[in-house]
Amino acid sequence: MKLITNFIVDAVVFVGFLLVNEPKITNQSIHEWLGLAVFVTLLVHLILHWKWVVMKMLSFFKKMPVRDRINFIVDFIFFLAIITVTLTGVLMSKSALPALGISVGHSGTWKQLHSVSADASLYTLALHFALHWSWIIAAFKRLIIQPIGRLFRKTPKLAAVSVRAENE
Amino acid sequence: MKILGRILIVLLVTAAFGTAIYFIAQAISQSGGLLPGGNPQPGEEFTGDPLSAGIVSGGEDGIQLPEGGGGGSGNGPRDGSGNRRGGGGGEEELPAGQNWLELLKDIAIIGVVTLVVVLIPKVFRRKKAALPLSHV
Repeated sequence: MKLITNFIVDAVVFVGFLLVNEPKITNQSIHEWLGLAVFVTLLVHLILHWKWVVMKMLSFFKKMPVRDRINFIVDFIFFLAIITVTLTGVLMSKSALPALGISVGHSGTWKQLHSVSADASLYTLALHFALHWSWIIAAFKRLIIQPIGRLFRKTPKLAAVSVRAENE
Repeated sequence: MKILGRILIVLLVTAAFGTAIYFIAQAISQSGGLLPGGNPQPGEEFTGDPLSAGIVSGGEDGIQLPEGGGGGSGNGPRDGSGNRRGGGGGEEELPAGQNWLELLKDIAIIGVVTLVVVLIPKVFRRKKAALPLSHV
């Protein structure tokens, strides 16, 4: 259950992030609302991995495998980049916030910061994806490949029953 | 209760980082900004040096930024249709199909980074294994 929850949340965040990262594919309002949704889903992802985050945070300045340390740093940068991209996006919102009756001023700084942090979040997401590659492959095999394979495979029990029936 | 506490902590941390980023960006903006020549405020035109800012003239009725040049905030004067001009990308239309190429580019970036991160340790491991014992 936990594996499937993690896998679905991660897949939703990944696809959502890719779509949000290209505002020319979606229109402005979809870009803004989808961006907010991806941000909330990322917070859910963080809460689902709460124990890992707390454990790594507490042992960061102690002895720790290099891979875990790199992983934690990448995740932290990604977290900062996502907060920046969401905050700047909200601050120059043209559709989502005005729809809620909130008007915000626009500044060139926000636009530039939004663009830089969006690029940073793409690269750190790529690193995060790469560092979790073995988990992604294992989860993909277990949740998608194996169930599909089972559909096309005859179970030994059924085979035995059919052989017995033929003999009788 | 446990989950609620975690949600609250995540929201607090997010708010703290968000506030810090906001004030840092404000300070940078007030001390000259990320854009050379300062940032135009809502309703006012860019007055900095267009060449040093990388801004090209968009004709008589507005300023335009080259694509990917960052900066700009859609603060230029309104055009005939009532839409604001300028704004450094994000709103200008690209030919159909090119938008999806951008998405493919992002996927390619993720693919390349994954290949590099996954393959490099394997190559190093093989090289180590191939070394004769006297070198170890």
